[in-house]
Amino acid sequence: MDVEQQLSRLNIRDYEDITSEFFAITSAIEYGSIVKSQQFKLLEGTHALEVLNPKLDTALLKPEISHPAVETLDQAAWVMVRLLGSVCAWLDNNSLSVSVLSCYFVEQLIQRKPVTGELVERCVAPFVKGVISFVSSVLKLGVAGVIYEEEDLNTQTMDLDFSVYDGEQTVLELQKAVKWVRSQPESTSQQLCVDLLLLIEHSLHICEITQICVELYENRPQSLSFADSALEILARLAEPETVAFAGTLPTVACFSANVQKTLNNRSPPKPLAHSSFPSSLENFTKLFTDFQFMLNVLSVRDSVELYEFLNIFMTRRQFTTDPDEILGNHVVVRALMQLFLIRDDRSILGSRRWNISTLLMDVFSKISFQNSKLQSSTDEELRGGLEKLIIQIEPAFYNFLTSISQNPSRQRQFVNKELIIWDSIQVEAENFELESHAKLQDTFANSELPVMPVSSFVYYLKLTKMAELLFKSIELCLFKDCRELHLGYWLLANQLDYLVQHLKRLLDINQLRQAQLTALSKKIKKAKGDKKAKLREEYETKKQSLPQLLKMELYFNMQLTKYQIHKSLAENRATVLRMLGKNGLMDLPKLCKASEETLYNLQFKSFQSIGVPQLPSFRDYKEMMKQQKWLASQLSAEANASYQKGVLKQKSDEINANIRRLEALVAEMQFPEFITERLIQETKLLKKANVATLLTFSQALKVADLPRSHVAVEFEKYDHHLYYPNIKVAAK
Amino acid sequence: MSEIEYEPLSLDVDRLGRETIDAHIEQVRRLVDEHLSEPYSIYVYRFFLNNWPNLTVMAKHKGRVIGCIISKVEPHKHARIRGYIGMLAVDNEYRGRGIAKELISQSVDSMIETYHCDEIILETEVVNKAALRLYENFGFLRVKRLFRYYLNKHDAFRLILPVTEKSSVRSTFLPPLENAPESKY
Repeated sequence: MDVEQQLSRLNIRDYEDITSEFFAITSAIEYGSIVKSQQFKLLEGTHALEVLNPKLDTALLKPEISHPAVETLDQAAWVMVRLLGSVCAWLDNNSLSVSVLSCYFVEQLIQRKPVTGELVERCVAPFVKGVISFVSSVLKLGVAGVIYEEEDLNTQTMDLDFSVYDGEQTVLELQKAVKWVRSQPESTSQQLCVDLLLLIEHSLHICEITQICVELYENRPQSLSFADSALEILARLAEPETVAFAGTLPTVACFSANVQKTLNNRSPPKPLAHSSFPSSLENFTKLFTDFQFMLNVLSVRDSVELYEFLNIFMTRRQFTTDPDEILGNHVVVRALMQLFLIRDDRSILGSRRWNISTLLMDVFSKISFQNSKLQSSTDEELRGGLEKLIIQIEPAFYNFLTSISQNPSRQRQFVNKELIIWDSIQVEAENFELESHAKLQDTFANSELPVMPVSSFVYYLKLTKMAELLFKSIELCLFKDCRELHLGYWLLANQLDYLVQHLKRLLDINQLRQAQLTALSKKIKKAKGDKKAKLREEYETKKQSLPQLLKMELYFNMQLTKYQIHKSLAENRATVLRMLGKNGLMDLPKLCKASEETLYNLQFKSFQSIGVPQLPSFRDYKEMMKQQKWLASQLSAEANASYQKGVLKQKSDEINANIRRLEALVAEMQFPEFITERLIQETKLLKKANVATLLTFSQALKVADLPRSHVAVEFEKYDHHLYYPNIKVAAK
Repeated sequence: MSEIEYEPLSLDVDRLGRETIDAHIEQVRRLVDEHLSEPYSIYVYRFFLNNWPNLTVMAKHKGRVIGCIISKVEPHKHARIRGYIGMLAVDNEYRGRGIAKELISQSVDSMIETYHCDEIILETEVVNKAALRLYENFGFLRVKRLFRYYLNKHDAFRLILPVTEKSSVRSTFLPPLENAPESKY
């Protein structure tokens, strides 16, 4: 109803016109002053909509004419194709009011209002009900608090109840509709309608996964054939003839902005949004593909594999030719994964045995706690102290478990938040372990050096998060130019050095526990009587951990090699970027209103408060930059080009050797295929990054004598490693 | 073409008269409505213009407002003074003449000198290369990427120009501000 109609409905005789009195009163307000309640700030008013402003007042929208008559299967197919596009537009961050609810049939059926016509009742209505039920199940994921409103999904429903139809009943109606359409004379539209009905039916099963409870590590993949079937349908729909046919279908006037005006709407007027048919198919294909990948979590066999899988899930990206787009997992799958993995009762996958606490303890045990003296200690004070620390560690661990479902930008913010927690726990863990050292005397062989398993675990995770924050900053293009990217790689190499050293320490701990087991076995041989029996009992208990220790030794070697590769790659990149500095490409912009030092400090704000490893000061950085020797003193600015290239080539060969070693270690780990495949794919991109650095170096040499204004530098992301965009240098 | 003049908005009725002030506000509103995609209500303009009139800088040609920048300054988490550039618009026919650059420069200087900002922030779309280049030339750094921040589904960058040391310390570790300035309305 428009304003005129609304006014005409009011019985104006019941009201008194106070317009002139109102303006007489307001004329007393001093010009330029703002009259408002003291209860709120004007800022709150900035969210208000403004009456009679065409950009903000939906009442000013002109009603569109609707002719929702569907008389042929061609028309029915068009409505369904278009509505599928509306669903995808909603999943792509548009509101329901401009997408799904813009369809006349949705508006009617969600309010349980009638729709008429045989084709509508038998084919379109079941599809629409399917869409409403699908939206309803996704809305439930959206409001569960695991993804972000508006940023990830818009859950404003215009106060309509999307759970109006029973899911099972809708599935039956969809199946009945398929049967009816199949009974119609054969045509391309008929097949298209059947496929679209089946696609929506399969989509309704996706969210049911959160109802399934499984035991973690029991390797029981669920029978979810609907996902395979949906992907087959999508492949069929994506065939060029079908896509072309969909483009020729006759339109039906049943999509309009009317709902923005007639229903409860808190948003300004916006144009309708819908995805094209090919984009819709891509969207749903991604949904089902990502869903299937998510289900691999059911096939992991221990916490190390789970940890690796979650990291892989988190960093899964879809290459896109748009350099400004970063595509992670499908929004529905991201939300699903979170709710599927961690249940309301804190259990993992609904397991009776595994919850957040037991999973954390298992990971902790494998990293550094296994067979430690603290683990077997019965000292009340020590056990109490340990318990307190674990309680503090849990939020950081939980933060990791929740970060995996975030969009790529949020993931970085989660890592940033986690850093502060790990840093504060590290201080407490070290204090606790240094204090308890006198009682435990858990030292490395022939050394007074305490093992400190808790601090070692905390420090390991902290260092990996520090590196991750820089990796993600590179991925998100936060380092915009040569100067900033150089800083990023320089600090990354610096931090990875600490991580590599610490991984060697973790390997030492692992080997210490293995050596202690061997020593215990020898001790048994020498012991007698009760002591022998006691030692044997201890040995039998500890021996059970041997296969795990061996697996972890292999895992640490794999991690060590991986981070050594990253460290060398980061060093090489920093070196090449430094070379470009000679062209003035690392100078501050001319209009810069901030000092280089304040820029440096802001760039590394997240690390300013970290105790260990401390962020190198700006002075340290400048000192390093003054030195003419680069790359561990092997390279100097004065060296001739071929020598420089030789040194870099040597470094590159070392990286390649490490990549080969990493590939062998990955194979030796015998991960499930979906993990191995991804890790091998990663090594390929690392190889590519290595070669690309050499290429950039050659390009940089060619422009070495040109001034900044004559050199063009581009960072290319497509088909390159997330953390190593190709640096393309050319003369302008 | 004759000189472009730059002046901050003034709400001083005695000096300028009501008509001039109304005309300035109307022209600023027209510029922003015409050139920025986000719809702003009158409250948004009133919030910025009445609280910090001097942080709305206008570029005028022959008395007509052909460019403007609208900013504000407020305490952030009670720990630092944060300037914020909310809107910047220049009429198409006047683009490429360094007007936006001058508007940013004057606004930033004013926020630093008059309000003693610790940092100045803004958000801009990742696809808006011209805007990014413009601000980054002043030293603004990308500190955060904001997923699908704008209505057209693009990501945005949060940019910060650090002014004092406070800008590089997490607010948790900063002492609370004393006599933090508050917006009037």
